[in-house]
Amino acid sequence: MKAAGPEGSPKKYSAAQRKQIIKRHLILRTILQLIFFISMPSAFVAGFSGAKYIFNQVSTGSLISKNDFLIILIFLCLYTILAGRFFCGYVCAFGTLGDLVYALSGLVQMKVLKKKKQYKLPLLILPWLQKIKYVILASILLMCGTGIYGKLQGTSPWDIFSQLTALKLNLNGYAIGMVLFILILAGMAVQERFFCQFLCPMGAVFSLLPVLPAATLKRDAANCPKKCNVCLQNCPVGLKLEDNASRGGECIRCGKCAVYDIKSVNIRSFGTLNGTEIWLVILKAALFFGIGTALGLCRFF
Amino acid sequence: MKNHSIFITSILSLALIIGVLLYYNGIAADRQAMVQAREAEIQAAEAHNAIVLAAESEARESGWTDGTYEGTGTGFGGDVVLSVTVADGKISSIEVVSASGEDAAYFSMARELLNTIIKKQSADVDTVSGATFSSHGIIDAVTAALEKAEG
Repeated sequence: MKAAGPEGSPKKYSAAQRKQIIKRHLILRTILQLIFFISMPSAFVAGFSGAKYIFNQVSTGSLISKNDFLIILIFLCLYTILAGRFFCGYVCAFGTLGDLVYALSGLVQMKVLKKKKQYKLPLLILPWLQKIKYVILASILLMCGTGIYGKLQGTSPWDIFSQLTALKLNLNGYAIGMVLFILILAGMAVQERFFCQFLCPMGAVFSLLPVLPAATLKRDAANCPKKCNVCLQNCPVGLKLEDNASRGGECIRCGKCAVYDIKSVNIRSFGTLNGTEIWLVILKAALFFGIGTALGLCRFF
Repeated sequence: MKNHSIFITSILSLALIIGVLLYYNGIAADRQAMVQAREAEIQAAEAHNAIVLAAESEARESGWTDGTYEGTGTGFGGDVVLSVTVADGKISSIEVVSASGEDAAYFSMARELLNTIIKKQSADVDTVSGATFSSHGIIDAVTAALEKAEG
């Protein structure tokens, strides 16, 4: 039974309602992640190829002209500017892989190793580790700009992942890439969204984009109960919204803070919306799917 | 309001980056246009060179080097001096330099030989009947000139 407070104060949910909201959100997100994983697994590789294309052209002084990857990169960036990193939270196959590995790891830890809580890295080192992806982004782009990147064939873990999603497995000359890929999988087992927050160069790009204020999640800190850390404890990237606004770009719009913040309903993006409303999530997913397919991202159409 | 200042900073940075890339693209486009124009120039020059080389090799086969050569032959009343011009290895024109000793009427009949020689590209032509000596003068003069052209 919803207890409606006086005009303007947040709604309160019962424990049963809370559980249902959390469960529904998890099911919806998982279904959408699977749909995008199967139909658009190479979206992030395509986008990053657009970034590499720009730097390759500049390195030879050539014209930056119409290129499919560049168009996809521009689409991903525009979408992120307008809706936040929905791509990261719901579409990206690598992100979905990370969620899958972390969930399996949790299952193993709880059921087989009989632990009480799943292991994750200490919160305090997350901000430091999250800076690594900017170094990786800069290095790769610099290598493209100086022409070195072309000689590094076989070192990319993303190539390995792309091959796996295409159900191919030709690993000749991919020794280094394979090692990196396995290390990444290991990392995914000890921290939620390990690759996304620490290593992803596309994530580095997205985190620097100007997301519209209407699309960013904000916390009404004045109304938060003292010492409540529910949002922080459930956030994969260790954000307590607006405590450190400069790290706001890390938010991958998984929506967990909003669904777990049932005590106070203090997390919102625009008006009373918090981005986890079922109709809104489906709308964002459909929009991305439609435009992405038109640009050639879907492997079925 | 910290959210907004970060938003403004990043949107300005993005605008700056896009501006720089567009400016770069303008320069790259100009450069590409210049390179294409240059390549067209080079192609035209190479085509012209090819034509000249073909003509030169053809010239070498005919045995005559391009140029203008004077030759003297003995006509009816004295020397007949002709100037033979070779162009692209072929006899292109023959001018009369002097033929003072010739009888005008006979010489003008023999003049026909000049056209015949150019058409046949050889001094080995039949004399004009009725103007035998003038014909010989012309033929000998052209022969002498062509000998010079053979080098």
